[in-house]
Amino acid sequence: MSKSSGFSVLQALTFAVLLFMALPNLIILAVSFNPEATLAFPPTGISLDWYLNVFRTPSFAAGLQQSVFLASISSAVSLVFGVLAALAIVRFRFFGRQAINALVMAPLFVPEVVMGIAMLLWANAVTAISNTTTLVILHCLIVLPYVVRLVVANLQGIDPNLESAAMLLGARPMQAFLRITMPIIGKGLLGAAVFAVVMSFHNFTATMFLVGSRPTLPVAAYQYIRTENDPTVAALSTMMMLAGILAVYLMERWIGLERLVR
Amino acid sequence: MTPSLSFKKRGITLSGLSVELQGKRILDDVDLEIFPGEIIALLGPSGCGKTTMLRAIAGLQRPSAGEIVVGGQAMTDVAPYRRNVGMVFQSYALFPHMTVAENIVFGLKMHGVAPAERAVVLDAALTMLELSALRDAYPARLSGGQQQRVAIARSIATQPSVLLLDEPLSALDKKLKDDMRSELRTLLKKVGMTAIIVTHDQEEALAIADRVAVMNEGRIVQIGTGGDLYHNPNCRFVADFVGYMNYFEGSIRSGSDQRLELDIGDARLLKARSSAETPATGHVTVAIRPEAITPMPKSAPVDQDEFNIVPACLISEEFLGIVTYLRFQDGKGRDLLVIRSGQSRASPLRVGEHYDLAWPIDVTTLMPAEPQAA
Ligand SMILES: Nc1ncnc2c1ncn2[C@@H]1O[C@H](COP(=O)(O)OP(=O)(O)OP(=O)(O)O)[C@@H](O)[C@H]1O
Ligand SMILES: [Mg+2]
Repeated sequence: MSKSSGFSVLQALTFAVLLFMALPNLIILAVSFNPEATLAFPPTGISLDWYLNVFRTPSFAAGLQQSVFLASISSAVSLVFGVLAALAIVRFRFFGRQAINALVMAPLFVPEVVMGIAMLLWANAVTAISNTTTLVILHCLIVLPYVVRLVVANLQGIDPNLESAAMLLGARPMQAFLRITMPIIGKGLLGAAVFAVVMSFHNFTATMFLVGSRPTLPVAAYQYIRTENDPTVAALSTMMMLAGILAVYLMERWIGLERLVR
Repeated sequence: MTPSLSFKKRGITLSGLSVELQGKRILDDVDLEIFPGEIIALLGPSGCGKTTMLRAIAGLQRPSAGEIVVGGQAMTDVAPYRRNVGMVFQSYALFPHMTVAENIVFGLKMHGVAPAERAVVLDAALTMLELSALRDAYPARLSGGQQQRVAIARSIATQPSVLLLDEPLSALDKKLKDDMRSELRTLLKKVGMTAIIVTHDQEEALAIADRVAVMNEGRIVQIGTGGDLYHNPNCRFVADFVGYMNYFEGSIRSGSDQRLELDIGDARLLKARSSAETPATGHVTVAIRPEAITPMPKSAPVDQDEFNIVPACLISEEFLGIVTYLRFQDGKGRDLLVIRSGQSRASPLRVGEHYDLAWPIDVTTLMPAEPQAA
């Protein structure tokens, strides 16, 4: 008896914490349906006008395009380099291996503001580099540590004798890697890619410092809210949240989230 | 119609093979000659370098010195995928994303064998290892014994000249292990492959192999048939690894061509036959297997020309069914183990009584004395 009541207290507590965490998002959700042109809570009615307005705002469409571009390029690049770095870290014992590991992980510990400023200074010094290139590099740096960590975890779970076995059966080292290791870590790579896209897509702080004529979607939202006070941004945020939840749900269905967090 | 696999029998020669890892000698100057079609067991304690030796032969581990020759062909600089050496890993290393059938034909695909021929070999391998019902199963679903059979099927499908098996039975439970032991030998003999099988179980080594190589600390200490190792171990390490042994430390008093006299500190000298290997003088270790010793009543007549005798007191008796362990202690406090068949109709012994422990001079083994711990 005491056990079941203890459990329900725990349940209530868990629920309260979850609610507390979700509350700001729930408020945004509510505000996005407000028929009036203010970011006010509670809403005075229900309307989908602001959702339509999201699609009518040209800076959002441009921002979405820029964000998708950045997310796809930076996740593709960091996936390639991430796999190579992870392979080096897991498979080989060489001088400087720890240094590479530390270097790849460093962006995790540098505040994003610092990264943004550093990249800005660097871009100014290297005048030949375009704004878009700088952004791509920045996003790669932000995403790479996560990709490397995920791929390392996936590679470490593989029996190194699998590739040896394949080679004794006649496979060249590259064939062994492509036919044995790649299919086994394939799902993990897909997870890392989705994770990278989401991380890049949602980045705001560091990106802020570098945006030029083509802001990303989060930056466009920020710029919008500086001049307008209507719930369009709330509607946009709700849609971005839904997209994020959908991504997590699909990942859970296809891959299993535990592959990502272990 | 039973399609069959055929193998070319090839011998293996290792000469002066050494492997160094991180400045440590893992294999130390190993010489080994394996005849075509022979099954050799590598027997030794954990960490003595058994897996490393297989990996060197397979080309997965670069030797720091020495030669590996398989079927008359120098292998030292040949890449693993060109060696045509099959290996069954300790962990089996089955490809988890492939079915049993896909695992088995993987090597054939890599060798560019045509699909029609692949199917024939697959059927032969599935039949031979009784895996036909499991052809579409994934490894994760299989029992340990089934996984082991898939690993063997996969490694022999490409008809390698040599098969290396790294503790293939260690993951199985006792009962299955005993069954698989003889099955494995039958299978290897049927296909006639040259094979090296690693184990740290002496019974397994003796049951499967034609000859056993006992390893310790990166070296082969002795190689021979089970009988050789059991009856003529060349050092205490080998003697202890294959069964129990009683020891006396002593020195050689006098020697003729036939017979040596040994002083073990008793009033009576022990006798032993001299052979080419026994040292002529100096300190030696005298070894006697426990089942060679017969306890005799004090007054019983013994032919002192043919038997050695050490008087000792019976300390304890353990009846274990098939055998009985009798523990004795002699006048100098040395412990002696005597093993008697449980069926023995010899008169019962009494704990606390003194007996003469007698054994034939012929089974008195001499070894170089152990270096004294400083
Ligand atoms: N990559 C490595 N780097 C350094 N030392 C190693 C490496 N691999 C193995 N060793 C060492 O080499 C020695 C022999 O290892 P090996 O795996 O050949 O032993 P083994 O006889 O197969 O033992 P087991 O019966 O436990 O499988 C061990 O002392 C081990 O610590
Ligand atoms: Mg081993």
